[in-house]
Amino acid sequence: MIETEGLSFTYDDGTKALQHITLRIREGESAGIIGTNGAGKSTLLNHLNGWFTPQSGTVTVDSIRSTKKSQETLRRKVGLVFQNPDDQLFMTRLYDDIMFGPDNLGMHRKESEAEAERLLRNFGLWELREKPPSKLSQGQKRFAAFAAVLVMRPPILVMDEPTSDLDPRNRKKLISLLRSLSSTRITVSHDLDFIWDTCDRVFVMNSGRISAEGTTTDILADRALLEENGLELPIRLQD
Amino acid sequence: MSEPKHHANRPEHALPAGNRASLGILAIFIIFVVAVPKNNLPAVIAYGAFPLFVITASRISLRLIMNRLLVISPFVLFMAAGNLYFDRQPIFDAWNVSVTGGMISAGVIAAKSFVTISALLVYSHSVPFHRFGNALRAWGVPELFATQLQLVYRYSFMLGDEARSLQKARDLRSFGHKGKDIRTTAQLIGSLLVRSSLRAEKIYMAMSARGFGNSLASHQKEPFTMRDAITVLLTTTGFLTVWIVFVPKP
Repeated sequence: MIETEGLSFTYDDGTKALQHITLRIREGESAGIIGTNGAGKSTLLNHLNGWFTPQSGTVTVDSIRSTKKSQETLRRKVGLVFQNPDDQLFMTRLYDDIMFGPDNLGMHRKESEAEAERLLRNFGLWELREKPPSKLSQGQKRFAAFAAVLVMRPPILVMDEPTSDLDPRNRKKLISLLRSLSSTRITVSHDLDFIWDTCDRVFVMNSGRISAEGTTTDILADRALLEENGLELPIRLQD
Repeated sequence: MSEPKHHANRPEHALPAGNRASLGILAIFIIFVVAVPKNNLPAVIAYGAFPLFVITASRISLRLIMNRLLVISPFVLFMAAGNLYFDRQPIFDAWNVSVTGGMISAGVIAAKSFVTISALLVYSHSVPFHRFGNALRAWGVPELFATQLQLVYRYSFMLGDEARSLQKARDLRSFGHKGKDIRTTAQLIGSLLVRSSLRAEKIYMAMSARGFGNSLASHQKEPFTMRDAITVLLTTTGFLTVWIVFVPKP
């Protein structure tokens, strides 16, 4: 379970990125967070994995309160897939990048190697495991970034714009992959059709606040609500 | 892309002269300070009054300048420390400590570094970088040099952001003492270099597509008025006066 209570955050330059955010995401649930640029979505994500600690209010992940001391514990529980895979992959060999997390977590080597191979084969990256990530295509990097996080088997998976740079076929592949996972998932995305396909519940953010929450179909089919928050209907629902 | 916080509130034109004149004064000041003989600490301290005066007059945060100096102080002190070993000739005793020539020259090197860098920092905090580039061009600095400097400045922040992103990516998958070893850091730096090179190619393509012809000169001119000329003359006279007073004739 992920809970935030009255979470607020202001950047050094005075930007109030989050204002009294209160939300609950149950174990096994898949939640989407949508909103315009600058709504505070990425800032909220960075609180969920302990990268930022709350300035006021609380963040609790599986009963662990987010503090400076619990940051590492939270990172073991929450896997974050970055918006830009180039920011996520930093080793000079793809296979080393995938194994980086499990080695540092102290996971059983043979088990993590088997899991890494399974994921890489699943994503069509096994033949590329000796290559530097910089030589991969954008789609390949995207899946490599997923593999690098999934191999650690985080109970909670947080994704920031997971479908940007993906062609329709790879997008479909990602949807299929996510549906096969049993972990709790939180997705930030402008791709409302992707949110429709992968999330049970949706939170709408606007100017650092949660302006609406509900089931995916309730929220994403409400044209007036979406327009009020600077968004549009998913393409599948547009005339 | 992030930029240092002070850029948002830079007190442009807070310097007593135009950008071009201020650059000229800065260059003259640095020449005077660097030329001070290696054992003449009082002269360097006297020249140190100039950046302090400009900091006060321009209302730049002294704390900001001191923080920047603190960052570079290990390098400065490391450079100066060499003299302690090369010159061990005792000059005088003070409080039961034998003061050697090396100690004095080390002190002078450190003081010169801090004084000149303070002056540079004051200038950089007062003048937007693109105007610094224009001022360089106005003084006849080769276009290639000025453009290179501006590009390095422009993309140093991007590089900083990329480095921070990579560091974040590493930290999020590092636990306990694992993941932050030399080998991983070396790989991180290697990746950064490769990515910088690839990014530079893309940036150059984008610039060429918009007719980049090896110059980033803007249409903004940096004038040199009569008032600027008088300011340069007066400050140079001040520097010369300090020299005459504090630097004995051979």
